[in-house]
Amino acid sequence: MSGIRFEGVWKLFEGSAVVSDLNLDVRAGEFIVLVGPSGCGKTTSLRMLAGLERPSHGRIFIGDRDVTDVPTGERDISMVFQSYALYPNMNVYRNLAFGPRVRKEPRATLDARINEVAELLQIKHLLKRTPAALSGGQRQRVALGRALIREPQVFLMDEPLSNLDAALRVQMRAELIRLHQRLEKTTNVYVTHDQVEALTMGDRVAVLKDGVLLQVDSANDLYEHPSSVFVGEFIGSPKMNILEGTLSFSGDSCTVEVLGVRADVSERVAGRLREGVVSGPVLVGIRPHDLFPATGSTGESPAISATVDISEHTGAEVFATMETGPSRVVARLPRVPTPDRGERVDLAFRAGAVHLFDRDTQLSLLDRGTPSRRTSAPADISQQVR
Amino acid sequence: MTVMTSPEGTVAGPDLERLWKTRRDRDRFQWSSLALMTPAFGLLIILFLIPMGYAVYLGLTNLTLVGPDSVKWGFTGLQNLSRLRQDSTFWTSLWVTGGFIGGSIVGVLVAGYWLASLLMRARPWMRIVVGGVVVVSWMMPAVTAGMTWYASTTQGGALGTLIGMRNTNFLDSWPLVIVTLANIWSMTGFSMLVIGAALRNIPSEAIEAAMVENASAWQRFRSIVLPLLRPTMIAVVLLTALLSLANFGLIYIMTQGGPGNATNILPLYSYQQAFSFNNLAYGALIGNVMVLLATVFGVLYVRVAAPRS
Amino acid sequence: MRLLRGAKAPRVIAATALATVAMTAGISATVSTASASSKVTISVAYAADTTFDTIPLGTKWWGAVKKEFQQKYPNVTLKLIPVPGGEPDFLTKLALLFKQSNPPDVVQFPSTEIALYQSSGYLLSLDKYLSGSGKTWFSQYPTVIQNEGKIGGKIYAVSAGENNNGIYYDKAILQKAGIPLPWQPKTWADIITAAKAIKKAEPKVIPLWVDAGTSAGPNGAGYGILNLLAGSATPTIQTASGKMVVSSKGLLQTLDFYHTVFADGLGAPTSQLFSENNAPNIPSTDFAKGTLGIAVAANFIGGNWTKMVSFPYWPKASTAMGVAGLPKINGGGYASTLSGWDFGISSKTKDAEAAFNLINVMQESKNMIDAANWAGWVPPVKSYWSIPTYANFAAPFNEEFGKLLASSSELPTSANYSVWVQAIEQASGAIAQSPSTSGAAAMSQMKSYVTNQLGPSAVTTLP
Repeated sequence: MSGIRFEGVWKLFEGSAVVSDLNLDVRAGEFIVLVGPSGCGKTTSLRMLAGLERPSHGRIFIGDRDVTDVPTGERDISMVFQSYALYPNMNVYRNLAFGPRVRKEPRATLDARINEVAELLQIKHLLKRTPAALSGGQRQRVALGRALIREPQVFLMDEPLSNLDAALRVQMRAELIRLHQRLEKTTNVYVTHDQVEALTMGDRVAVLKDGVLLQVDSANDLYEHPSSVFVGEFIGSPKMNILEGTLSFSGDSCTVEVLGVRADVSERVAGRLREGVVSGPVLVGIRPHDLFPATGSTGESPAISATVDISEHTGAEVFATMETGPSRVVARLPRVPTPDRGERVDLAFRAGAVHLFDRDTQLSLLDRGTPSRRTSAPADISQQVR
Repeated sequence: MTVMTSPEGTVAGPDLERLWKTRRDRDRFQWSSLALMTPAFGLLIILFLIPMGYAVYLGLTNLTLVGPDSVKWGFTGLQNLSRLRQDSTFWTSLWVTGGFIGGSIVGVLVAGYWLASLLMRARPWMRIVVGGVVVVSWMMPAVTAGMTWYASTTQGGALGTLIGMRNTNFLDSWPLVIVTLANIWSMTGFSMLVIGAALRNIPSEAIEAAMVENASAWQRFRSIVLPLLRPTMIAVVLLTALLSLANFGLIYIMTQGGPGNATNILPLYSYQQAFSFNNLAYGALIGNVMVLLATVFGVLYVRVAAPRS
Repeated sequence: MRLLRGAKAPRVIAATALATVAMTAGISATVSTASASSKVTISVAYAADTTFDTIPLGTKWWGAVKKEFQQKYPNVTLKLIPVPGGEPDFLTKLALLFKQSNPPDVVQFPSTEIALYQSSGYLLSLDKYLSGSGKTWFSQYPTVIQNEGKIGGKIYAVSAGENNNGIYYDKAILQKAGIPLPWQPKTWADIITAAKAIKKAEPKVIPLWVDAGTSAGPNGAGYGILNLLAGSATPTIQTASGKMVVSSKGLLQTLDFYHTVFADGLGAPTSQLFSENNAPNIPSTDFAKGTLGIAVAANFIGGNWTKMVSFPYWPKASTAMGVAGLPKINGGGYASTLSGWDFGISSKTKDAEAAFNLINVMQESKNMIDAANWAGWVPPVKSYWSIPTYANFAAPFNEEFGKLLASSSELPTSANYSVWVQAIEQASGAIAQSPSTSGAAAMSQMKSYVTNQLGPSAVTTLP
């Protein structure tokens, strides 16, 4: 069992920092996902961990061992590449057997081991084929199989699902989660640009942007407590609405004025407001799920008059871009009746679910309140976002 | 197709048969295509088949450049062939040709791969400079290349000066080795370009995957790079063989086939027979032997290079 | 024909040669037929690049000939056909020109080609004209040169200029070696003795230049080893019945002489001997640099030092250098090969009279001496040797070589000779490269090569 530790790792490339001062602790057996838009440094971080790139500064540990200068082959890792990187000149069997052979592992157990892995991944019937004769999903399994043969301490995956079609991606995602549950001793580092994948798969998710690690948290905490506007917008689909608003305190109550209405958020901010926050303009984040036709229930904001512009059907729900005054927001509307363009709807948001960010630093003004339970890949979220 | 021809079981059987007969996507032959191909065929016949046939015929005559047999000449049957069989200079020449081509192939492959893989890792300016120099050596006319090598490998030349043996006449001491080196030098640019392109086509992630699996550099080369380069290397081998066989100018400039017959490859011997010794017919026969050799290489090349479908 | 002699022209494959010749011939054909009615046109083919020391000199000479000829014979137009390329290429192209139905009327070609062209039926017998309008100059040829174009009792070609050979020596170097001047060796042993003395006195000097190897083509041997063979006990190369001599006392003596020269370290290095770059002219540069003692070399070396040729320009040569005849092996006169260029008339010419008139013009003293000076020849007409424009051009060498002309002997001109000369050059090259090769071994190597090429019936052994 080995955890992973990045200590002050930098990667400089042609004068700019691709990865800046990365500090990250991954517990042994954990499934961590590095997520971020392209160019955020997630793949570079993974490649430094694999030993395919050398860090410009800082140290990397696997377990207690400083592997910063250890050659890639001696780090006891397995890696699945985005392109699968199968050996095009070898059939599936030889692809799987290549690693054990170069490591001079006993041949007697090799066939049994390959059979075992092939069975697990359901590629037994493909052993004699060459990679060129495989479909994308089959190649992906072979790549996975090649990584599994080794029984490594650390299992690295670089966007392994990005070349698959949507249906296959969902299926493989589930299989990977199942696999991780079976191999619970292995530490997994998984890189993706897809926040859904990140939220569904990771025990914890590390969000990177422009080479900087912004937040590492469980999926739930990332969703509920984004530490910055970027994380708020990046996690969750459709994107969080970010709106100009004004925060005011009067006595014990705290209100926020946004979208032309004033809502009481005292309960939301109670005991969680960061020090030094005073009345004044702020950025208010409201997730589309928390913005819906007004029902007049408690906890709701006053009604906001809005006009439907574009509505997008996502199956279970309809998300519509609405115009209200000068602002455009995305709100959740009922499926039936189908909202028409130009239709007027009175919206309200859940006052207890607003996010508040500093206008200048874009950082959250709210501390995490009661620590939330860590759960792995909460099913409710994956349902919500899909 | 098997579905179409098996009558039992399918409701649409007769219909399918009709559909099969009237299908519009079959390969069709059109007589007009023959007319359109005539110019190409004509050129092929005029420029290739007729001269080739004539050359084969010439090889079996007693034609000379000047003298009585240049005016009255005719078919002499297998006389030239039996002379060829007993001609020890010809057999020497064949061996020398083999050594020249074989040495060139090995050298061109090794040097081309070596340079290509070094340049892959080189800084861009270095890649441009070295690549440019090597390609210039390839583009250089055989006359220039021959002169350059002649000047640098004879007594007091650059080679001797560099390795501190100014008074050694390398070209005369190891003539076949030196002309082979010159040939390698002049063809490495081509093999470097081709092998370099093939190297760049090898997926770098496959190499990295092997590195992750702790494969040594040799294991990576042996198990992944080499098998993937194989088709390219075979093409380089065969093209080198063909181009070396035709590289008359280089040796003609450097040694004229000498000293003795040490570098007398077949094209030079053919030229010597035809134009120095006046035996046009015998020279043509030796030329035909070269055509035969070139055909073997050519067929191999086409078979290897042809896309397998 | 000094500078480009033996130099390698770019490779020419038969196909391009054919194409070039076909085009040239086509042009000449149209010209000659078009103007046949009122005005006669005759053509002359010659080597554009190899005969004269520089290409412009050749252009100048042929231009002057054309001008003079057309002034003298206003009814005849002279068409010049310069054939480009090094000597082997020139010969190939010329042969192909003569295979056409409309060959040039007059040709200038090496004397080694005469017999081949005559046996092909390409040449017109000149006897009628030589006893007529040509008598004035032809009667002044030394007998050996009159016979140069004689086949079966008839004359088919007349000389354009001759190359013969002798000994050059550096007076200062010989003096340092203790050899009294002027030096005239009486035997081959005298030459070896002198060379050994030079090696002892001046270790850095090459004592003796004798050619070796194949790099200069068939001419190379003509400027070197064949001169020695000509002075040996049995100088025969080809018997009267046409067989090539592959073993004889004379051959053995000659190759043994080479063995002595190279085994004792008296010869030039192979880098010079085997040079693809004009090996027969290397002695002129070596002498000018003071690095060569004695050379068996051709008449044109003397001309190389003139300002006009400048190969290199060495004004002191006339006093610093001495000339001597190459003695026969045991004395009793001089020996030298003769290799020249000749004029012939095509057997298909439409106007033999006009063609011979052209030869008459070219044989005039001014034209012959210009050609001799610009191409490095000895003019064949005796009276021209003492004309100051010739004698003073490269004094004292030109006149000396004129005098040596009478003791020269012709080389055979059969097709088999080209194989034989290749073999003797390979033999001399083998000795130069590995001096342990004995004369006998080199001769047996030569014998097997010639026998292999020509078949046993075409070779013979002389005692």
